Amino acid sequence: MMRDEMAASIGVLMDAGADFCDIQSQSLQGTTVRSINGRLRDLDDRSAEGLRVRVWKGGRWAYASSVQVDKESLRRCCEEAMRNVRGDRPSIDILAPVSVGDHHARVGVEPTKVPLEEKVAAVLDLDAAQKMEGVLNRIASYSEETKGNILLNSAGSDVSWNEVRTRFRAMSVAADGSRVERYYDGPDGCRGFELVKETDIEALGRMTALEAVAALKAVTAPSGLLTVISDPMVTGLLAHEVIGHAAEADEVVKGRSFLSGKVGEAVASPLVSLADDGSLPYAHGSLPFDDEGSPSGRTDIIRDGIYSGYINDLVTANAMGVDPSGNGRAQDFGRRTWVRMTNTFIEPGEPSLEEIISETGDGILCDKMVNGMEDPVGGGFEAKVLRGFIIRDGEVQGQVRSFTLTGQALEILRTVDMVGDRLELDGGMCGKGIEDWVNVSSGGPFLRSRIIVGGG
Amino acid sequence: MDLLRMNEDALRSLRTVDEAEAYSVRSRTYAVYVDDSSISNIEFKDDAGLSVRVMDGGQMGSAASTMGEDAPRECALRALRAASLSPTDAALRGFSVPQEAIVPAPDVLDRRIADQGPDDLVEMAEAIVSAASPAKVPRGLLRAALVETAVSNSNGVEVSQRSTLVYGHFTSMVVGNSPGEGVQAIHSNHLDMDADIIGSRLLGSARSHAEAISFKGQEELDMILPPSELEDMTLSSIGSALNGENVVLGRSPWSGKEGEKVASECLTVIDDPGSPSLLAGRYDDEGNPTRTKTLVQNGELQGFMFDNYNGASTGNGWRREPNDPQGSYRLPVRIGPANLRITPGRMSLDDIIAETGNGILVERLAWPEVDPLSGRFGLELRCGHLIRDGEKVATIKNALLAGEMFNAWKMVRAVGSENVRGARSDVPPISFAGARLVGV
Repeated sequence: MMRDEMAASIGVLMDAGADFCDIQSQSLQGTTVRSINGRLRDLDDRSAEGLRVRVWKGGRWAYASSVQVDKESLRRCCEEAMRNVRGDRPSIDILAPVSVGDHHARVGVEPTKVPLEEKVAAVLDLDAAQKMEGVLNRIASYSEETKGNILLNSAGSDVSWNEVRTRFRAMSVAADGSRVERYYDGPDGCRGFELVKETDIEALGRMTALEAVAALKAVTAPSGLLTVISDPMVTGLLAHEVIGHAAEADEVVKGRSFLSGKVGEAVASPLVSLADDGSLPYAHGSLPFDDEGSPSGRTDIIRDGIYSGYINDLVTANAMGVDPSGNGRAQDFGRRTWVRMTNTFIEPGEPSLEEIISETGDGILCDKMVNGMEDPVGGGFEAKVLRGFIIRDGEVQGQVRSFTLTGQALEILRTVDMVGDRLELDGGMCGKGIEDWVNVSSGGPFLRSRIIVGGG
Repeated sequence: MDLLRMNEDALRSLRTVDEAEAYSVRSRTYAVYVDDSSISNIEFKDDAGLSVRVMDGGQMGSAASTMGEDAPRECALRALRAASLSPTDAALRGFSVPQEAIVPAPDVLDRRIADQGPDDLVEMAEAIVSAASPAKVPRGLLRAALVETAVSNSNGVEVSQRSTLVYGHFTSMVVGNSPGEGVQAIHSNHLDMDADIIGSRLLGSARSHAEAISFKGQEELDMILPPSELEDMTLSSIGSALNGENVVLGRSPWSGKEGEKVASECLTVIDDPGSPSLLAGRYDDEGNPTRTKTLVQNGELQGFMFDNYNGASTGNGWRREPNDPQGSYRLPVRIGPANLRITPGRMSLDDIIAETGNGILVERLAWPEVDPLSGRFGLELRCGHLIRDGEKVATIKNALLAGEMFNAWKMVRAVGSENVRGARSDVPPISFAGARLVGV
């Protein structure tokens, strides 16, 4: 897309009365290879390009987007956006950081340069590695996405950047005639094909198969208020779903977040520090700039148990009188940009997992999540856990099948009394409400707290 | 932009292969967003793209792209390349063959949406917000789109369809320390909803959430699920069990049970693509004719849903997501119902409540989804009404509602008489025995 035309259109929009505007051009390139039971289920090569015009006036946005990336389409989008921006809300001036230059993702092996045959072979190897008695379905998948962005705005930004993400995953489904259970694992991140090359495919496939078969013997989890050691994934759900979503400043400025007005208050155990950081190297939610051109960075949300701050896009940062934190994100050029997380995690502490277990009389150790749900209004926590282990007298006992954790997030965080020594992040997709999916990661260390367990 | 011509351009580059298919879609969407009870954003999207699948010598590959002048040919060549690199699969089935439509054309096109700008949408969103007062609407979305699709393949299939969709999602909240948040969703082909009714429901829901108190203890009880929560629980249990791919892979709990009782006598489930709904139409996204199918008749399993890949197609291969047409050319074909309808019973919701001894009338769950393989669920109750001896006695929150959905379908106490249309279902409220409520 022609940057000169984009720059000229910015001038036209401002002359027409916009208070602020930006134009983004985006290209998307993706490949998915997926197999089930040795059959290649999906071999997709996807590409897309589009542009988006945003105009801010009178406290309201108007967006117009198109998949035709040419001068005529740009003109139509500008006209449509100007026609629809009929703001009558209390407005604020948008001051945006000025970002310039061309920024290229640094990855070890550029995935688009790897022959497709190699990706297919890796997936089929991972599928075959799951062959084991009791395994009903062997699922292996590889996906890559390269997103190229150019963004210009009326504050003077003229910046381009790209993002590269890959994911390599195994999932085994085991059955014994009466029950069906599953297990999954695999790496992800803002990395190239080296992510696959560094994976011990045989070990990954075999481990997921073994664990799926072992899950068939798991018993029902106990229920009630229990001592729970959440694994990094479930710790990440706690960080992301409740605290993270409620720290999104658009929820705060309209009073929808239970964390509104909490800055400076003790909200968690002093052992808990929680941050969002889009600049972490290689993490799945990392990005050099958000979709408004603001550089990504770190926001301390809770520091030593004290509530510290919110994550912002341009509008909320200007409304709150703070700097934008690089959290104005969109799924793609055709969707809304608003405050979104990047990599959200609880900071590690000191004890090892072994020490946490040995100091736990009775409890339950979580292993992997199924999903979780946000509750920025009420601060409720819901996490579905794939499986767990009973702990008795400081020792890991039998396995329990999937269960649900629930409770009030701040009450849970106040009960945290042990924070493990190793931070792990898990990549995934985050929706806001029930759509607008963006790449994120969430995580933390093993964490001991008191949580309601049920649904096992 | 003539989608069938774009498809032809793609297929022209693939004359030498065994079979090829082109699917193209164009959508024109307006969306209005509400933040804090006023409109914060008006959005226009012009989206178009295509997906090409190639099958040649037992190899299959696909490629997708946004629409441009060269896109059909480039997409075709990329799909051909992908197919050439895939391993041979002797079990591959062919693409669709030309067939007459079976269901009558449903009324799924609203000229106001097809021809106009965002003004009607803005007016409707403002009317809903106004009708919800004194509750505020922290977040709202109202989207209307014209969607055009076309499927063509080398077997001679050439199908194009047009429809409109309206999707809305509004939340509501009253002032208070722990207000909770009500939700109302809208699914329609027409911009014909009654803003006063939606607003009034938002207000009622906000008030219910605000008065809810934390539930203590644990108990076994009946659960009454309203359509808003039952839809996802139905799709993730029954929808998954009826999915032909899960049957082929041996992980559907209903595999091999055709003709057997899998649910209560009072449960009849039909896929009904001929009635207005967001995926309603005479053909699916593979160009197969859709059909009205009874899948469960009085609790007895009648059959499953298939796409071309997994069996003899029943017209259930979809790329489109019902609520949002944007980018559907980038999505793979997956099996699903067009419009999964549970036949309504004779009891009103009030009658069901009156006949419930000990139960919970769910108003809202955090995420009403069950494990599709095991049917297990443990769902956070955000708002519900405890029922004792036929009366609502308390509004509660902060509890886990737990159970096993495939068992629950066998223990239906009552099926309500009033269906509500969802994204891809049309279900009434249903009362089930055997749920468990675990309090904080």
